[in-house]
Amino acid sequence: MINKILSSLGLVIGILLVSCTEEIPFDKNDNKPTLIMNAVVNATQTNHYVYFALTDQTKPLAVSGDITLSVYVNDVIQETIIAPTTEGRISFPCVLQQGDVLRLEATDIQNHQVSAESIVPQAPNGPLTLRVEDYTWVGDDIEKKGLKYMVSFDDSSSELRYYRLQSLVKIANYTLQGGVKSSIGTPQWANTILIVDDAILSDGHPRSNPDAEDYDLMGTMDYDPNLMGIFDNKRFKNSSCSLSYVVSTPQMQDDSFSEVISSGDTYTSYTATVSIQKITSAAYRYYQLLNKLKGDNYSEMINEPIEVPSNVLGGTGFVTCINEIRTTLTTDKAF
Amino acid sequence: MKKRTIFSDKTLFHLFFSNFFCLIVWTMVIQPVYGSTVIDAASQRHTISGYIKDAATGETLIGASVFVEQLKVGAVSNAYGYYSLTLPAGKITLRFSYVGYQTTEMTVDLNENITRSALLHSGQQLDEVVITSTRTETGIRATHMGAESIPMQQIKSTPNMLGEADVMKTIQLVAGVQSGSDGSANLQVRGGSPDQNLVLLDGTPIYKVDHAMGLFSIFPPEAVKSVVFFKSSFPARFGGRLSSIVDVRTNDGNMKEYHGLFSVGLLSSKISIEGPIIKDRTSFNINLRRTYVDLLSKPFMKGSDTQLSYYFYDFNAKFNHRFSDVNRLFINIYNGRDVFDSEIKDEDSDTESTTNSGHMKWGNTVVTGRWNYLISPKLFSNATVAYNRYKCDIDAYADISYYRNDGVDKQRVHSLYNSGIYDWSAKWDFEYMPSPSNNIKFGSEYLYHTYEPEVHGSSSRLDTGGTTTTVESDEGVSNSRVYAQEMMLYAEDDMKLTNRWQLNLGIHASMFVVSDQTYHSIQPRISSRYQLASDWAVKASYTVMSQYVHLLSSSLLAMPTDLWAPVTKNIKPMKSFQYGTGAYYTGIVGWEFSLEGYYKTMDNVLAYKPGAGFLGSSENWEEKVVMGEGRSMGLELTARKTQGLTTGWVNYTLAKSDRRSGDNSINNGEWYPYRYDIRHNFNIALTHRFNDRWDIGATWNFMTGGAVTIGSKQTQVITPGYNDDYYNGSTPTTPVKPDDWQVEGVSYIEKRNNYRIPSSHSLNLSANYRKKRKHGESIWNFSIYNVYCAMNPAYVYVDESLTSDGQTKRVIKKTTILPFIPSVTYTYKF
Repeated sequence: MINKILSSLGLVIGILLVSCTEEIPFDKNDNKPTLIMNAVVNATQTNHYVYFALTDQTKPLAVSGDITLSVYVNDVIQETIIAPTTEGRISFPCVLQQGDVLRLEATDIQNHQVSAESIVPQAPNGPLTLRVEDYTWVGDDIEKKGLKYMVSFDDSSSELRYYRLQSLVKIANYTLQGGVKSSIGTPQWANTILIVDDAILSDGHPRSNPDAEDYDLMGTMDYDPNLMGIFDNKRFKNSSCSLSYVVSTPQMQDDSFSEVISSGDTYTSYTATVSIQKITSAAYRYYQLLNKLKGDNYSEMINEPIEVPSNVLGGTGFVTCINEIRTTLTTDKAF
Repeated sequence: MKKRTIFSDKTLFHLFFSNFFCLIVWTMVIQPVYGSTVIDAASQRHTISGYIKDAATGETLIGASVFVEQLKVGAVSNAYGYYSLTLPAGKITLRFSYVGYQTTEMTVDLNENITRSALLHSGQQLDEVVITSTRTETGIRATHMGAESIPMQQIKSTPNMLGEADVMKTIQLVAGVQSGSDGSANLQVRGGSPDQNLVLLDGTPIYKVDHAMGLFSIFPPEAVKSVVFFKSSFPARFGGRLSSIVDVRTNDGNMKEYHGLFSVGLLSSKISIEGPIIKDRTSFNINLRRTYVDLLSKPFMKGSDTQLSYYFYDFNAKFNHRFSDVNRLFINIYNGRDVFDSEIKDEDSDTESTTNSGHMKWGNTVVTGRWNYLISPKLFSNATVAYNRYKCDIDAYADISYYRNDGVDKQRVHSLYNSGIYDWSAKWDFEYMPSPSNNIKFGSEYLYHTYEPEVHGSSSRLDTGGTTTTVESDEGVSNSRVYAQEMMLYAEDDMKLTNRWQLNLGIHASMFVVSDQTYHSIQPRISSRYQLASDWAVKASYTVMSQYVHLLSSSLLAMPTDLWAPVTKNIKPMKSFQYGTGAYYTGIVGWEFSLEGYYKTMDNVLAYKPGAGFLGSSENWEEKVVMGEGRSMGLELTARKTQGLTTGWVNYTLAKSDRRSGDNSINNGEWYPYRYDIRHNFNIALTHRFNDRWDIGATWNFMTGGAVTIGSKQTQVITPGYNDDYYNGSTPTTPVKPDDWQVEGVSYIEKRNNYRIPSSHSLNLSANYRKKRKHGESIWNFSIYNVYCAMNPAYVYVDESLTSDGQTKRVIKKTTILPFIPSVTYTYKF
């Protein structure tokens, strides 16, 4: 009898403390669509893209109709383009030099008006040197292979500067017959870097194993992976900078990757295009927050909210200019 | 690593300096200014002093009033029930009064210094107007503003969740105080955060004051004698926190007879026993509370693959020995724990099964020794030595069985996590009462803090058919153990300058030494009260406070892994400056009315950087926070009924609180609403006594919602072009050019704390039925929490739902965890 009473009491408590969830309304006034404008303008190029969309409750919407885009450099209008977006973007030509102030102004057919401004930073001092060597490590109890790239440049300065490393490796198979290369198949691309033994790119959290996860007991990592490849010069002020990272692809895991090349065989070329971009402090903060947003650590429920910076007046988005130095290095491997 | 000892050279220096300071203050300032017994004799003034006690139990009464009608002067008993009045020689009549007790008068011939203790009998004073002393430290007649003595009767009568009367929940009904979320026992006081409240248990600070993720406080009312709450105008003897002081004193124990109670409710059971060890000389008081949710839920989980068990307990013990009329010793012990166990079985496959189990416990242990010594009838001293520890231990196990054709291999993986904070403290307080016009307090305190880092480790053992064992272990310490020393000196004088004007002038000086970094702070405390007319008074105050510790917390709930971290070279101490003014009316018999306004600024308050979280490691926590400033302001209107069959209060608060980061990382460096910026707050708390058998209690609370950050729209961010194929094991074939960028959708947050949680309100009722028994009294308590089942939001979040036409839309949802909850509790007192 006592057990029945105790069990019933337990049942009552259990039922009464169960949580319930219900929907509450958004503030409709707060949800009026605004125009989004995003652009990363590379001063070493002449043709650029600016991306447009409209904010919405569930997902950004495509902008219908034409957009009037005005491009100013140092307050002097360079281009006025009236066109619909293609794949969400509009292309515009513009030649820029360091110190120029780029301003973009856009209006859509619903009269959403936005503008944003950015200064072109000075390019890093060259030259940019690039070396590569084979790299192996043990991850998930198996031996893995990759290419370790070592980048160095000298952009000594006493002032605080911000950079971004961009690496794109084109993987192409070919045969070599009588000195003539013949491509096989379709080239592939790898632009993900694994930060290894580098305190600059890891912001003071260097790791010797690319697969090291360093999860703590709570299941979170104690650092945000540098997916955007950003860094500052606090660790190399007034001196040159040396970076290293690893690129690893499925092709590299083949046993033939480590073989010595002999003529007449099939090859795989790994062509790395590496650039060091100088970015603004606003862009550095922007990418820092994107590292957090896109990292495994972040949960909208638990973590502090991330207000992605916006420098677009009248709307939202981010417009910034970059300047860079670039180099290319090809490594051939047996197929 | 250099071995640390408690008594290093610096420690001894601090102890010596603080006691030297007290001696200097006494001999060079107080004695010359306020005179000596020689002067008193010459002017025919003598001191009458003693203790004010409960006649039945011998329990001293804190804040009891003693008033001399013919001279219009009075005093109140201090935290140990001691009073002292220096008066002109002659025949005097003293009137002793205390809430819940009958007023007692005593006539004496004051021809020399005499000791007279007063014994008050419990019982309601319904009709007679009781003139309480103007020398009280709390309430409408005190010099201090924002000071409340929370009646124990109100705490015990206030209906609460599952019938658990709660000290902190009752304080939440005071104007200017809110809970963090529905049902939480946290205190948000005048725009301050939960870590800005100094909660003292018999004078010792407590770090973790809640159970069950903040739903209940650690103070069972049966163990508590008095609760004094300050939200501004802090007395100089308090320091270390910015926003409030909660001074909880426990029962000393009945010096005359053995008494006790046991109580059985839906959530917990309690046992309390007190009595004399040596009659009128030594007493004890022991209280134990334990929940039994774990026992009640066991039948429902029998045979299930998931076994969960949770309980908490509080144990209070106090021993009190009176050596003589001038010497008294107290020893307090508190131990409280939350314990959570879990076991979850997974049948992963035919070849493998896993059982994940965990054991988690966290709580406080406090041991305090106090020595009261009456140096002279006018000079009371108390020396305290205390040890205070908060610890959190987590052990997690994974037991994996690998089934082979010829047997079973077993693996056990063990992970552990420990963190905590340990304090040793010593303090010496003096109270000097040279005349009814002056009450001087001074003293010093020394604390030695040890902030224990997260110690975590793991080990793995594999048994293969009992012949091969592999053991791997790893232990790490996330942060270095941090030692800190804190010293405080204070002095204050509560002065009656004229018949109308009272002034409290105080100074609190503190020093904090951590990791070769030293911080100092001088904190003036000024309060003034002016009696405009017989029933009108005004007050004003200016208070500066400093705080040297922060609570790193990851969520709205009070998690056991929340970490107290001291200031560092980079993270400076917090400081607050609070200005207050108020008007008070007592023209209606049995009623008090007050209107108070305040403005508070706070420097170096911490906010978490965008994306930061503390559910993981607290290593490098300084990089996750940013210092900034805060400000809050408000008006508080209170009407309080203090006499009659119905007592209680009604209050309304209009307030605003916001924050700004020191850099531009939050809200572009602009002011934004604080998380607990509650604009309107309305409280009603009433008790009514029908007769000796029946009394009821009711509370109704309304508050507008706090501010949270909700990404109510989606925007786009621009990122380098990349392809997810890499993560799926194949190299992308999409021709991603070196300068390709792409855009993707993310939540758009225009401003921090841009969304207002819906308002919440709830009505709670309780009724007590008492019946005298042969050897005691039985009490049935019936209560209903959230009578009309208001669906108040505990938290809100963004989610996705399908519309009627199959489209996905983002919605905001609120979760309610405390609907209508009835409860019944049976108590027997003997």
